[in-house]
Amino acid sequence: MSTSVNAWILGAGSDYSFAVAEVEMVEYLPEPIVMDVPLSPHYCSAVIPWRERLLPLMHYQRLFEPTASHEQRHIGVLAYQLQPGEPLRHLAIALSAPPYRIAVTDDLSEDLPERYADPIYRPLVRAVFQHNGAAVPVIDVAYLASTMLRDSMLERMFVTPNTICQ
Amino acid sequence: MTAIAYANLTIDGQSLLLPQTDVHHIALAGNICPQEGGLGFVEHAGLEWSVHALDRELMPIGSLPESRRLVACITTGEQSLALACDMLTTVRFESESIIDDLPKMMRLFSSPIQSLLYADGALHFVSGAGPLIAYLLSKEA
Repeated sequence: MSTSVNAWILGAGSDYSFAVAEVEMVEYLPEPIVMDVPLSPHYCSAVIPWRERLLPLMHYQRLFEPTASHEQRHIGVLAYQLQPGEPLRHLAIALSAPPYRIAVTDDLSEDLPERYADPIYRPLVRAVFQHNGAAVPVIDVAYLASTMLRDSMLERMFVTPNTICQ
Repeated sequence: MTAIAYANLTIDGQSLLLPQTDVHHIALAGNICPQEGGLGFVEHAGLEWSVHALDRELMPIGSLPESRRLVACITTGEQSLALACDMLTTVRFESESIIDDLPKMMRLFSSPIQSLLYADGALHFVSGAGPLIAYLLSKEA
């Protein structure tokens, strides 16, 4: 007998939907204030003010397509922990549509989508399920916000390692 | 309530904040002495302060836009240079302003931005003489 868990589906550009666990989606902001930060990675080059803090704003599609549109119509705030028991950290993510919640059954696992087979992106994926005929990855938000991903992305973009800060 | 004071260098609408003590002197851009291979220098306290300029993306530029009417002489005590800006003011931000370290996932070694300050609906970039001079000299090399 299969069980189900709730997840949020997030659209981050055409063909770039992904999912996070229900508890990881903290807030949806339909009219965000977005402020660019110069000299930052192309996929994370702005911040938003949120609850007396500034959150980095990730453009998910730009992880895969550096020249993808920079426009964001909606923003989701995601929560993650670096280790169990540690305080929650937060990250904003640009969305092309409002997020929606679904129930995922544990017998729907699919093979890894081809795009995520690349060693840089493979750690992003915690699981995969089928939804509306497409394989949807469940993303590791902590890895998305990690310096490990940043360093890998910048090395891929031909930036020499000594220009990357720890 | 504690207020934090900065020198606020306006560059093409961007606000770059430095500790007041890092700005040693302010000169008019009209006092820049031409120098081959560079933007020139200003003389102050018996030293020649090499002039640098940034665009809105905080990338170094090789010519001085008309709007850069001032140069701020910046020093760590050991290293010094002058940065052109459109305007320079002293600003004080109340403690309820949001000031956060630049998130690690956004931080590049070459960036002189150390923190972000959000106040009165505007984002300001906080740096210091050390990282700013290191950045400008690294781009010059």
